Amino acid sequence: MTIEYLLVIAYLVGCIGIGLLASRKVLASRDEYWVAGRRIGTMMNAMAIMATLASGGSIIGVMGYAYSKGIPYTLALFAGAVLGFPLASILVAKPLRNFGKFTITDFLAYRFPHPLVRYLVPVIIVVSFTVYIIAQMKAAGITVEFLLGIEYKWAVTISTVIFILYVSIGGMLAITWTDVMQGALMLIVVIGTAFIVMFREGSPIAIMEMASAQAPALGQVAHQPLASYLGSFVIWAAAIPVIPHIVMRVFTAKNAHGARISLNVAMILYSLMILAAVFTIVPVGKIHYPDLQDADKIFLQVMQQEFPPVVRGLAVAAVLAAVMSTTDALLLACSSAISHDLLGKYVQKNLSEKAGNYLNIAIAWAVGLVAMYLAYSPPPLITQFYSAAIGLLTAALFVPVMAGLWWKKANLIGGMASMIVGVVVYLFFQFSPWMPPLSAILIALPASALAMVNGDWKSLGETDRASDD
Amino acid sequence: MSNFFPMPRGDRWYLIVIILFSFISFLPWTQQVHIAGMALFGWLMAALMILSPTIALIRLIRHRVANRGEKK
Repeated sequence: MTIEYLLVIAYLVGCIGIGLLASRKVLASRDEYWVAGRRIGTMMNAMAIMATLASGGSIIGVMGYAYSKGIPYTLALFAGAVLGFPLASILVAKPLRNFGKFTITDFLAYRFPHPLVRYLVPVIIVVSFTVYIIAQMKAAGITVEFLLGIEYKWAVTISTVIFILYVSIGGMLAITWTDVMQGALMLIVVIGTAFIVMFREGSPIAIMEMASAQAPALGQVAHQPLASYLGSFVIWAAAIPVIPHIVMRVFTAKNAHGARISLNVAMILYSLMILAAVFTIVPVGKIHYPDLQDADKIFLQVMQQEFPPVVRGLAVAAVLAAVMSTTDALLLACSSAISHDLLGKYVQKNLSEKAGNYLNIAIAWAVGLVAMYLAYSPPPLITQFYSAAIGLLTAALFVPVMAGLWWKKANLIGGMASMIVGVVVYLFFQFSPWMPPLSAILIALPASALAMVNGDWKSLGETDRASDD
Repeated sequence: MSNFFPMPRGDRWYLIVIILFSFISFLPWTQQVHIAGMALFGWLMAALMILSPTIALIRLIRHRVANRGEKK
Protein backbone atom coordinates (compact mmCIF):
# COMPACT_ATOMS: atom_id res chain seq x y z
CA MET A 1 0.00 0.00 0.00
CA THR A 2 2.99 2.34 0.64
CA ILE A 3 3.89 2.75 -3.04
CA GLU A 4 0.28 3.60 -3.95
CA TYR A 5 0.11 6.21 -1.20
CA LEU A 6 3.45 7.77 -2.17
CA LEU A 7 2.43 8.07 -5.84
CA VAL A 8 -0.92 9.63 -4.98
CA ILE A 9 0.61 12.04 -2.45
CA ALA A 10 3.30 13.07 -4.97
CA TYR A 11 0.58 13.75 -7.53
CA LEU A 12 -1.57 15.79 -5.15
CA VAL A 13 1.40 17.84 -3.89
CA GLY A 14 2.27 18.53 -7.55
CA CYS A 15 -1.24 19.87 -8.19
CA ILE A 16 -1.19 22.19 -5.17
CA GLY A 17 2.32 23.37 -6.07
CA ILE A 18 1.15 24.30 -9.57
CA GLY A 19 -1.84 26.13 -8.07
CA LEU A 20 0.43 28.17 -5.80
CA LEU A 21 2.83 28.95 -8.62
CA ALA A 22 -0.02 30.09 -10.89
CA SER A 23 -1.62 32.15 -8.11
CA ARG A 24 1.30 34.59 -8.16
CA LYS A 25 0.43 35.46 -11.74
CA VAL A 26 -3.34 35.40 -11.73
CA LEU A 27 -4.60 37.13 -8.60
CA ALA A 28 -3.73 40.56 -9.94
CA SER A 29 -5.85 40.38 -13.10
CA ARG A 30 -9.32 39.18 -14.15
CA ASP A 31 -8.14 38.25 -17.64
CA GLU A 32 -5.36 36.08 -16.21
CA TYR A 33 -7.77 34.38 -13.78
CA TRP A 34 -10.54 33.54 -16.25
CA VAL A 35 -8.77 32.93 -19.59
CA ALA A 36 -5.08 32.57 -18.66
CA GLY A 37 -4.25 35.82 -20.44
CA ARG A 38 -5.50 34.33 -23.79
CA ARG A 39 -2.04 33.01 -24.69
CA ILE A 40 -2.17 29.22 -24.27
CA GLY A 41 -0.41 27.41 -27.16
CA THR A 42 -2.26 25.05 -29.51
CA MET A 43 -0.92 21.69 -28.29
CA MET A 44 -1.03 22.69 -24.63
CA ASN A 45 -4.63 23.78 -25.10
CA ALA A 46 -5.43 20.48 -26.89
CA MET A 47 -4.15 18.44 -23.96
CA ALA A 48 -6.01 20.70 -21.53
CA ILE A 49 -9.28 20.34 -23.52
CA MET A 50 -8.87 16.57 -23.61
CA ALA A 51 -8.28 16.48 -19.86
CA THR A 52 -11.24 18.81 -19.27
CA LEU A 53 -13.67 16.58 -21.14
CA ALA A 54 -12.12 13.34 -19.87
CA SER A 55 -13.72 13.32 -16.47
CA GLY A 56 -14.08 10.59 -13.90
CA GLY A 57 -16.90 9.59 -16.25
CA SER A 58 -14.39 8.94 -19.01
CA ILE A 59 -12.40 6.43 -16.98
CA ILE A 60 -14.58 5.06 -14.20
CA GLY A 61 -17.93 5.94 -15.77
CA VAL A 62 -17.28 4.86 -19.35
CA MET A 63 -16.16 1.42 -18.27
CA GLY A 64 -19.02 1.03 -15.79
CA TYR A 65 -21.49 2.15 -18.43
CA ALA A 66 -20.12 -0.27 -21.05
CA TYR A 67 -20.07 -3.10 -18.50
CA SER A 68 -23.67 -2.44 -17.50
CA LYS A 69 -25.39 -1.18 -20.67
CA GLY A 70 -23.22 -2.66 -23.42
CA ILE A 71 -20.48 -1.18 -25.60
CA PRO A 72 -22.72 0.15 -28.45
CA TYR A 73 -24.83 2.18 -25.99
CA THR A 74 -21.71 3.64 -24.39
CA LEU A 75 -20.13 4.47 -27.72
CA ALA A 76 -23.33 6.24 -28.84
CA LEU A 77 -22.93 8.61 -25.90
CA PHE A 78 -19.20 9.19 -26.28
CA ALA A 79 -19.35 9.43 -30.10
CA GLY A 80 -21.89 12.20 -29.56
CA ALA A 81 -19.35 14.03 -27.39
CA VAL A 82 -16.63 13.58 -30.01
CA LEU A 83 -18.91 14.74 -32.82
CA GLY A 84 -19.72 17.78 -30.70
CA PHE A 85 -16.14 19.02 -31.00
CA PRO A 86 -16.04 19.54 -34.78
CA LEU A 87 -19.47 21.15 -34.39
CA ALA A 88 -18.03 23.42 -31.69
CA SER A 89 -15.00 24.12 -33.81
CA ILE A 90 -17.03 25.14 -36.88
CA LEU A 91 -20.19 26.57 -35.39
CA VAL A 92 -18.95 28.22 -32.18
CA ALA A 93 -15.18 28.73 -31.85
CA LYS A 94 -14.68 31.31 -34.57
CA PRO A 95 -17.96 33.27 -34.42
CA LEU A 96 -17.92 33.46 -30.61
CA ARG A 97 -14.43 34.88 -30.61
CA ASN A 98 -15.49 37.33 -33.31
CA PHE A 99 -18.29 38.55 -31.06
CA GLY A 100 -15.61 39.13 -28.40
CA LYS A 101 -17.69 37.89 -25.47
CA PHE A 102 -16.23 36.42 -22.32
CA THR A 103 -18.75 33.68 -21.41
CA ILE A 104 -21.82 32.00 -22.94
CA THR A 105 -23.97 34.14 -20.64
CA ASP A 106 -22.20 37.28 -21.86
CA PHE A 107 -22.92 36.32 -25.43
CA LEU A 108 -26.56 35.40 -24.83
CA ALA A 109 -27.17 38.53 -22.74
CA TYR A 110 -25.65 40.63 -25.54
CA ARG A 111 -27.65 38.89 -28.25
CA PHE A 112 -30.91 38.62 -26.27
CA PRO A 113 -30.69 41.55 -23.85
CA HIS A 114 -33.12 40.85 -21.04
CA PRO A 115 -32.62 40.32 -17.27
CA LEU A 116 -34.27 36.89 -17.52
CA VAL A 117 -31.51 35.70 -19.86
CA ARG A 118 -28.80 37.32 -17.73
CA TYR A 119 -30.01 35.47 -14.61
CA LEU A 120 -31.53 32.23 -15.93
CA VAL A 121 -28.45 31.08 -17.85
CA PRO A 122 -26.02 31.16 -14.90
CA VAL A 123 -28.58 29.46 -12.66
CA ILE A 124 -28.95 26.59 -15.17
CA ILE A 125 -25.17 26.37 -15.49
CA VAL A 126 -24.67 26.19 -11.72
CA VAL A 127 -27.41 23.55 -11.24
CA SER A 128 -26.19 21.32 -14.10
CA PHE A 129 -22.56 21.62 -13.16
CA THR A 130 -23.17 20.94 -9.48
CA VAL A 131 -24.74 17.60 -10.50
CA TYR A 132 -21.77 17.00 -12.82
CA ILE A 133 -19.37 17.72 -9.94
CA ILE A 134 -21.22 15.30 -7.62
CA ALA A 135 -20.69 12.50 -10.17
CA GLN A 136 -16.98 13.34 -10.34
CA MET A 137 -16.70 13.24 -6.59
CA LYS A 138 -18.25 9.78 -6.52
CA ALA A 139 -15.60 8.63 -9.02
CA ALA A 140 -12.84 10.04 -6.81
CA GLY A 141 -14.40 8.61 -3.65
CA ILE A 142 -14.88 5.03 -4.84
CA THR A 143 -11.39 4.97 -6.41
CA VAL A 144 -9.59 6.11 -3.28
CA GLU A 145 -11.79 3.84 -1.12
CA PHE A 146 -11.30 0.79 -3.33
CA LEU A 147 -7.59 1.05 -4.08
CA LEU A 148 -6.23 2.88 -1.02
CA GLY A 149 -8.66 1.59 1.61
CA ILE A 150 -9.74 5.03 2.88
CA GLU A 151 -13.41 5.30 3.89
CA TYR A 152 -15.63 6.72 1.08
CA LYS A 153 -16.67 9.92 2.87
CA TRP A 154 -13.10 10.72 3.86
CA ALA A 155 -11.92 9.97 0.35
CA VAL A 156 -14.48 12.41 -1.10
CA THR A 157 -13.63 15.07 1.52
CA ILE A 158 -9.86 14.92 1.04
CA SER A 159 -9.96 14.98 -2.76
CA THR A 160 -12.56 17.76 -2.80
CA VAL A 161 -10.60 20.02 -0.46
CA ILE A 162 -7.41 19.55 -2.46
CA PHE A 163 -8.87 20.35 -5.83
CA ILE A 164 -10.89 23.32 -4.63
CA LEU A 165 -7.67 24.62 -3.09
CA TYR A 166 -5.69 24.71 -6.31
CA VAL A 167 -8.58 25.89 -8.50
CA SER A 168 -9.50 28.69 -6.17
CA ILE A 169 -6.00 30.06 -5.90
CA GLY A 170 -4.73 29.42 -9.41
CA GLY A 171 -7.66 30.15 -11.76
CA MET A 172 -7.52 29.14 -15.43
CA LEU A 173 -3.72 29.22 -15.56
CA ALA A 174 -3.40 26.62 -12.78
CA ILE A 175 -6.15 24.59 -14.40
CA THR A 176 -4.39 24.62 -17.76
CA TRP A 177 -1.01 23.64 -16.31
CA THR A 178 -2.48 20.86 -14.18
CA ASP A 179 -4.74 19.71 -17.02
CA VAL A 180 -1.73 19.12 -19.25
CA MET A 181 -0.11 16.97 -16.56
CA GLN A 182 -3.41 15.21 -15.79
CA GLY A 183 -4.23 14.56 -19.46
CA ALA A 184 -0.83 12.95 -20.02
CA LEU A 185 -1.26 10.80 -16.90
CA MET A 186 -4.72 9.59 -18.01
CA LEU A 187 -3.52 8.70 -21.50
CA ILE A 188 -0.50 6.83 -20.19
CA VAL A 189 -2.47 4.83 -17.62
CA VAL A 190 -5.53 3.92 -19.74
CA ILE A 191 -3.71 3.27 -23.02
CA GLY A 192 -0.82 1.61 -21.15
CA THR A 193 -3.25 -0.67 -19.32
CA ALA A 194 -4.99 -1.49 -22.60
CA PHE A 195 -1.65 -2.50 -24.17
CA ILE A 196 -0.81 -4.75 -21.21
CA VAL A 197 -4.26 -6.36 -21.46
CA MET A 198 -3.76 -6.92 -25.21
CA PHE A 199 -0.32 -8.42 -24.57
CA ARG A 200 -1.87 -10.88 -22.11
CA GLU A 201 -5.20 -11.68 -23.78
CA GLY A 202 -4.86 -10.94 -27.52
CA SER A 203 -6.09 -8.30 -29.97
CA PRO A 204 -9.21 -6.21 -29.21
CA ILE A 205 -11.12 -8.26 -31.83
CA ALA A 206 -10.11 -11.52 -30.13
CA ILE A 207 -10.98 -10.10 -26.70
CA MET A 208 -14.38 -8.90 -27.97
CA GLU A 209 -15.17 -12.30 -29.49
CA MET A 210 -14.28 -14.05 -26.23
CA ALA A 211 -16.32 -11.61 -24.14
CA SER A 212 -19.37 -11.67 -26.40
CA ALA A 213 -19.35 -15.49 -26.39
CA GLN A 214 -19.64 -15.33 -22.61
CA ALA A 215 -21.83 -12.23 -22.33
CA PRO A 216 -23.54 -11.62 -25.72
CA ALA A 217 -25.33 -8.49 -24.45
CA LEU A 218 -22.00 -6.65 -24.21
CA GLY A 219 -21.96 -6.06 -27.98
CA GLN A 220 -25.67 -5.90 -28.70
CA VAL A 221 -28.04 -2.99 -29.28
CA ALA A 222 -30.65 -4.32 -26.93
CA HIS A 223 -30.36 -2.71 -23.52
CA GLN A 224 -32.59 0.28 -24.15
CA PRO A 225 -35.07 1.52 -26.79
CA LEU A 226 -33.39 3.15 -29.79
CA ALA A 227 -34.61 6.57 -28.59
CA SER A 228 -32.30 6.24 -25.60
CA TYR A 229 -29.29 5.53 -27.87
CA LEU A 230 -30.17 8.51 -30.03
CA GLY A 231 -30.82 10.71 -27.00
CA SER A 232 -27.41 9.89 -25.48
CA PHE A 233 -25.78 10.75 -28.80
CA VAL A 234 -27.68 14.00 -29.29
CA ILE A 235 -27.25 15.26 -25.71
CA TRP A 236 -23.49 15.28 -25.98
CA ALA A 237 -23.22 16.28 -29.64
CA ALA A 238 -25.31 19.35 -28.87
CA ALA A 239 -23.81 19.98 -25.42
CA ILE A 240 -20.15 20.31 -26.38
CA PRO A 241 -20.62 23.44 -28.54
CA VAL A 242 -22.39 25.28 -25.70
CA ILE A 243 -20.96 23.76 -22.53
CA PRO A 244 -19.29 26.65 -20.71
CA HIS A 245 -16.18 24.92 -19.37
CA ILE A 246 -15.29 23.80 -22.90
CA VAL A 247 -16.20 27.15 -24.46
CA MET A 248 -13.94 28.91 -21.93
CA ARG A 249 -11.06 26.92 -23.43
CA VAL A 250 -11.78 28.57 -26.79
CA PHE A 251 -10.96 31.90 -25.17
CA THR A 252 -7.65 30.75 -23.73
CA ALA A 253 -6.26 30.02 -27.21
CA LYS A 254 -4.11 32.58 -28.98
CA ASN A 255 -6.44 32.71 -32.00
CA ALA A 256 -9.54 31.08 -33.48
CA HIS A 257 -7.56 28.84 -35.85
CA GLY A 258 -5.45 27.60 -32.95
CA ALA A 259 -8.61 26.97 -30.94
CA ARG A 260 -10.08 24.84 -33.75
CA ILE A 261 -6.90 22.77 -34.13
CA SER A 262 -6.77 22.27 -30.35
CA LEU A 263 -10.37 21.06 -30.24
CA ASN A 264 -9.77 18.38 -32.90
CA VAL A 265 -6.41 17.17 -31.57
CA ALA A 266 -8.04 16.90 -28.14
CA MET A 267 -10.80 14.73 -29.59
CA ILE A 268 -8.42 12.33 -31.31
CA LEU A 269 -6.61 11.78 -28.00
CA TYR A 270 -9.90 11.46 -26.12
CA SER A 271 -11.30 8.92 -28.63
CA LEU A 272 -8.17 6.79 -28.45
CA MET A 273 -8.47 6.68 -24.67
CA ILE A 274 -12.19 5.78 -24.65
CA LEU A 275 -11.83 3.12 -27.36
CA ALA A 276 -8.79 1.57 -25.66
CA ALA A 277 -10.82 1.29 -22.45
CA VAL A 278 -14.03 -0.18 -23.92
CA PHE A 279 -12.41 -2.62 -26.35
CA THR A 280 -9.87 -4.12 -23.95
CA ILE A 281 -10.38 -3.43 -20.25
CA VAL A 282 -14.20 -3.74 -20.24
CA PRO A 283 -14.46 -7.07 -22.12
CA VAL A 284 -11.70 -8.57 -19.98
CA GLY A 285 -13.49 -7.30 -16.86
CA LYS A 286 -16.75 -8.85 -18.12
CA ILE A 287 -15.03 -12.20 -18.64
CA HIS A 288 -13.30 -12.29 -15.25
CA TYR A 289 -15.84 -10.44 -13.05
CA PRO A 290 -19.28 -10.94 -14.63
CA ASP A 291 -21.42 -10.18 -11.57
CA LEU A 292 -20.25 -6.85 -10.12
CA GLN A 293 -22.88 -5.08 -8.00
CA ASP A 294 -21.56 -1.57 -8.75
CA ALA A 295 -20.62 -1.50 -12.44
CA ASP A 296 -18.64 1.71 -11.93
CA LYS A 297 -16.02 -0.36 -10.05
CA ILE A 298 -15.02 -2.55 -13.00
CA PHE A 299 -11.80 -0.64 -13.79
CA LEU A 300 -10.82 -0.67 -10.11
CA GLN A 301 -11.55 -4.40 -9.87
CA VAL A 302 -9.32 -5.15 -12.86
CA MET A 303 -6.61 -2.92 -11.40
CA GLN A 304 -6.75 -4.48 -7.96
CA GLN A 305 -6.75 -8.09 -9.11
CA GLU A 306 -4.47 -8.01 -12.11
CA PHE A 307 -1.88 -5.26 -11.69
CA PRO A 308 1.04 -4.60 -9.31
CA PRO A 309 1.02 -1.77 -6.68
CA VAL A 310 2.90 0.74 -8.85
CA VAL A 311 0.27 0.51 -11.61
CA ARG A 312 -2.52 0.67 -9.00
CA GLY A 313 -0.99 3.84 -7.55
CA LEU A 314 -0.78 5.36 -11.02
CA ALA A 315 -4.39 4.29 -11.67
CA VAL A 316 -5.59 6.11 -8.54
CA ALA A 317 -3.61 9.19 -9.58
CA ALA A 318 -5.05 8.94 -13.12
CA VAL A 319 -8.64 8.72 -11.91
CA LEU A 320 -8.06 11.62 -9.53
CA ALA A 321 -6.48 13.47 -12.46
CA ALA A 322 -9.55 12.81 -14.60
CA VAL A 323 -11.88 13.92 -11.84
CA MET A 324 -9.86 16.98 -10.93
CA SER A 325 -9.18 18.12 -14.49
CA THR A 326 -12.91 18.28 -15.16
CA THR A 327 -14.09 19.40 -11.76
CA ASP A 328 -11.63 22.26 -11.62
CA ALA A 329 -12.98 23.60 -14.91
CA LEU A 330 -16.57 23.02 -13.75
CA LEU A 331 -15.87 24.86 -10.50
CA LEU A 332 -14.30 27.74 -12.38
CA ALA A 333 -17.30 27.88 -14.73
CA CYS A 334 -19.72 27.85 -11.75
CA SER A 335 -17.65 30.52 -10.05
CA SER A 336 -17.69 32.56 -13.26
CA ALA A 337 -21.47 32.07 -13.63
CA ILE A 338 -22.06 33.46 -10.14
CA SER A 339 -19.44 36.17 -9.73
CA HIS A 340 -19.20 37.34 -13.34
CA ASP A 341 -22.70 36.69 -14.70
CA LEU A 342 -24.98 36.99 -11.67
CA LEU A 343 -23.05 39.50 -9.54
CA GLY A 344 -21.04 41.10 -12.35
CA LYS A 345 -22.33 44.66 -12.01
CA TYR A 346 -21.96 44.69 -8.22
CA VAL A 347 -18.45 43.25 -8.43
CA GLN A 348 -17.31 45.76 -11.06
CA LYS A 349 -18.74 48.72 -9.15
CA ASN A 350 -17.68 47.86 -5.62
CA LEU A 351 -14.70 45.52 -5.73
CA SER A 352 -11.15 45.87 -6.96
CA GLU A 353 -9.81 43.18 -9.31
CA LYS A 354 -8.02 41.55 -6.41
CA ALA A 355 -11.11 41.60 -4.15
CA GLY A 356 -13.16 40.23 -7.07
CA ASN A 357 -10.77 37.31 -7.40
CA TYR A 358 -11.03 36.61 -3.66
CA LEU A 359 -14.81 36.50 -4.15
CA ASN A 360 -14.25 33.88 -6.88
CA ILE A 361 -12.26 31.83 -4.42
CA ALA A 362 -15.08 31.99 -1.85
CA ILE A 363 -17.65 30.98 -4.49
CA ALA A 364 -15.54 28.04 -5.67
CA TRP A 365 -15.34 26.82 -2.08
CA ALA A 366 -19.10 27.24 -1.54
CA VAL A 367 -20.06 25.32 -4.71
CA GLY A 368 -17.46 22.62 -4.06
CA LEU A 369 -18.56 22.06 -0.47
CA VAL A 370 -22.26 21.84 -1.41
CA ALA A 371 -21.43 19.28 -4.10
CA MET A 372 -19.22 17.39 -1.64
CA TYR A 373 -22.08 17.16 0.85
CA LEU A 374 -24.44 15.84 -1.85
CA ALA A 375 -21.80 13.36 -3.04
CA TYR A 376 -21.83 11.65 0.35
CA SER A 377 -24.96 9.85 -0.97
CA PRO A 378 -23.68 8.88 -4.42
CA PRO A 379 -25.89 8.10 -7.45
CA PRO A 380 -25.65 4.79 -9.36
CA LEU A 381 -24.03 4.87 -12.84
CA ILE A 382 -22.38 8.28 -12.81
CA THR A 383 -22.28 8.68 -16.60
CA GLN A 384 -26.06 8.47 -16.93
CA PHE A 385 -26.49 10.77 -13.91
CA TYR A 386 -24.37 13.64 -15.18
CA SER A 387 -25.47 13.18 -18.80
CA ALA A 388 -29.03 13.88 -17.67
CA ALA A 389 -27.84 17.13 -16.02
CA ILE A 390 -25.91 18.12 -19.13
CA GLY A 391 -29.10 17.47 -21.09
CA LEU A 392 -30.79 20.27 -19.16
CA LEU A 393 -28.00 22.65 -20.14
CA THR A 394 -28.20 21.53 -23.77
CA ALA A 395 -31.98 21.91 -23.89
CA ALA A 396 -31.70 25.45 -22.54
CA LEU A 397 -28.70 26.79 -24.45
CA PHE A 398 -28.13 24.95 -27.74
CA VAL A 399 -30.82 26.61 -29.85
CA PRO A 400 -30.37 30.17 -28.46
CA VAL A 401 -26.57 30.01 -28.89
CA MET A 402 -26.67 28.56 -32.41
CA ALA A 403 -29.46 30.86 -33.57
CA GLY A 404 -27.77 33.81 -31.86
CA LEU A 405 -24.49 33.13 -33.62
CA TRP A 406 -25.76 32.16 -37.04
CA TRP A 407 -29.22 33.59 -37.59
CA LYS A 408 -29.54 37.34 -37.81
CA LYS A 409 -33.33 37.13 -37.50
CA ALA A 410 -33.11 35.47 -34.09
CA ASN A 411 -34.66 38.00 -31.74
CA LEU A 412 -35.30 38.60 -28.06
CA ILE A 413 -38.74 36.94 -27.96
CA GLY A 414 -37.47 33.88 -29.81
CA GLY A 415 -34.32 33.69 -27.68
CA MET A 416 -36.18 33.80 -24.39
CA ALA A 417 -38.95 31.50 -25.57
CA SER A 418 -36.53 28.88 -26.88
CA MET A 419 -34.60 28.89 -23.59
CA ILE A 420 -37.68 28.56 -21.38
CA VAL A 421 -39.44 26.01 -23.61
CA GLY A 422 -36.22 23.95 -23.81
CA VAL A 423 -35.92 23.81 -20.00
CA VAL A 424 -39.60 23.12 -19.27
CA VAL A 425 -40.04 20.45 -21.95
CA TYR A 426 -36.78 18.75 -20.97
CA LEU A 427 -37.62 18.63 -17.27
CA PHE A 428 -41.15 17.40 -17.96
CA PHE A 429 -40.05 14.50 -20.15
CA GLN A 430 -36.90 13.71 -18.17
CA PHE A 431 -39.01 12.99 -15.09
CA SER A 432 -41.79 11.23 -17.03
CA PRO A 433 -41.84 7.51 -16.22
CA TRP A 434 -42.68 6.51 -19.81
CA MET A 435 -39.61 8.11 -21.43
CA PRO A 436 -36.49 5.94 -22.00
CA PRO A 437 -33.36 7.24 -20.21
CA LEU A 438 -31.74 10.34 -21.74
CA SER A 439 -34.32 10.60 -24.54
CA ALA A 440 -36.08 13.77 -23.29
CA ILE A 441 -33.62 15.85 -25.30
CA LEU A 442 -35.13 14.48 -28.54
CA ILE A 443 -38.33 16.37 -27.75
CA ALA A 444 -36.82 19.35 -25.93
CA LEU A 445 -34.49 20.49 -28.74
CA PRO A 446 -37.12 20.57 -31.51
CA ALA A 447 -39.53 22.29 -29.10
CA SER A 448 -36.87 24.90 -28.31
CA ALA A 449 -36.20 25.42 -32.04
CA LEU A 450 -39.91 25.83 -32.75
CA ALA A 451 -40.14 28.43 -29.99
CA MET A 452 -37.24 30.35 -31.55
CA VAL A 453 -38.82 30.35 -35.01
CA ASN A 454 -42.23 31.21 -33.58
CA GLY A 455 -40.67 34.19 -31.78
CA ASP A 456 -39.28 35.39 -35.09
CA TRP A 457 -42.71 35.12 -36.79
CA LYS A 458 -44.37 36.95 -33.89
CA SER A 459 -41.95 39.86 -34.20
CA LEU A 460 -42.39 39.89 -37.98
CA GLY A 461 -46.13 40.22 -37.40
CA GLU A 462 -45.52 43.14 -35.04
CA THR A 463 -43.21 44.80 -37.56
CA ASP A 464 -45.87 44.41 -40.26
CA ARG A 465 -48.52 45.92 -37.99
CA ALA A 466 -46.18 48.80 -37.09
CA SER A 467 -45.51 49.51 -40.79
CA ASP A 468 -49.26 49.38 -41.53
CA ASP A 469 -49.84 51.98 -38.80
CA MET B 1 -27.87 37.60 -45.75
CA SER B 2 -29.75 36.04 -42.86
CA ASN B 3 -26.59 35.00 -40.96
CA PHE B 4 -23.68 36.96 -39.45
CA PHE B 5 -20.82 34.94 -40.87
CA PRO B 6 -20.63 33.01 -44.14
CA MET B 7 -19.82 29.34 -43.56
CA PRO B 8 -16.97 28.16 -45.80
CA ARG B 9 -18.10 25.58 -48.35
CA GLY B 10 -15.66 22.97 -47.01
CA ASP B 11 -17.07 23.32 -43.49
CA ARG B 12 -20.60 22.97 -44.83
CA TRP B 13 -19.75 19.75 -46.71
CA TYR B 14 -17.89 18.39 -43.73
CA LEU B 15 -20.93 18.94 -41.50
CA ILE B 16 -23.25 17.35 -44.06
CA VAL B 17 -21.02 14.27 -44.37
CA ILE B 18 -20.64 13.62 -40.63
CA ILE B 19 -24.34 14.21 -39.98
CA LEU B 20 -25.19 11.82 -42.83
CA PHE B 21 -22.74 9.27 -41.42
CA SER B 22 -24.42 9.59 -38.01
CA PHE B 23 -27.86 9.22 -39.57
CA ILE B 24 -26.86 6.04 -41.44
CA SER B 25 -25.34 4.64 -38.23
CA PHE B 26 -28.69 4.89 -36.49
CA LEU B 27 -30.65 3.02 -39.23
CA PRO B 28 -32.12 -0.24 -37.89
CA TRP B 29 -30.06 -2.60 -40.06
CA THR B 30 -26.82 -1.54 -38.36
CA GLN B 31 -28.14 -3.00 -35.12
CA GLN B 32 -28.84 -6.45 -36.65
CA VAL B 33 -25.47 -7.03 -38.34
CA HIS B 34 -22.77 -8.27 -35.94
CA ILE B 35 -19.02 -8.22 -36.54
CA ALA B 36 -16.57 -9.74 -34.04
CA GLY B 37 -19.21 -10.00 -31.35
CA MET B 38 -20.49 -6.43 -31.64
CA ALA B 39 -23.33 -4.80 -33.58
CA LEU B 40 -22.22 -2.84 -36.66
CA PHE B 41 -23.76 0.20 -34.97
CA GLY B 42 -21.05 0.07 -32.28
CA TRP B 43 -18.27 -0.19 -34.88
CA LEU B 44 -19.72 2.77 -36.80
CA MET B 45 -19.81 4.85 -33.61
CA ALA B 46 -16.17 3.91 -32.95
CA ALA B 47 -15.27 4.88 -36.52
CA LEU B 48 -17.07 8.20 -36.13
CA MET B 49 -15.05 8.94 -32.99
CA ILE B 50 -11.77 8.62 -34.89
CA LEU B 51 -12.78 9.86 -38.34
CA SER B 52 -14.64 13.07 -37.51
CA PRO B 53 -11.81 14.86 -35.62
CA THR B 54 -9.11 13.40 -37.91
CA ILE B 55 -10.77 14.66 -41.08
CA ALA B 56 -11.45 18.03 -39.46
CA LEU B 57 -7.81 18.30 -38.41
CA ILE B 58 -6.50 17.38 -41.86
CA ARG B 59 -8.76 20.04 -43.38
CA LEU B 60 -7.53 22.68 -40.94
CA ILE B 61 -3.87 21.88 -41.55
CA ARG B 62 -4.36 21.88 -45.33
CA HIS B 63 -6.14 25.21 -45.03
CA ARG B 64 -3.23 26.66 -43.04
CA VAL B 65 -0.65 25.35 -45.50
CA ALA B 66 -2.66 26.80 -48.40
CA ASN B 67 -2.89 30.16 -46.63
CA ARG B 68 0.87 30.24 -46.05
CA GLY B 69 1.43 29.43 -49.73
CA GLU B 70 -0.79 32.33 -50.77
CA LYS B 71 1.05 34.76 -48.47
CA LYS B 72 4.43 33.79 -49.97
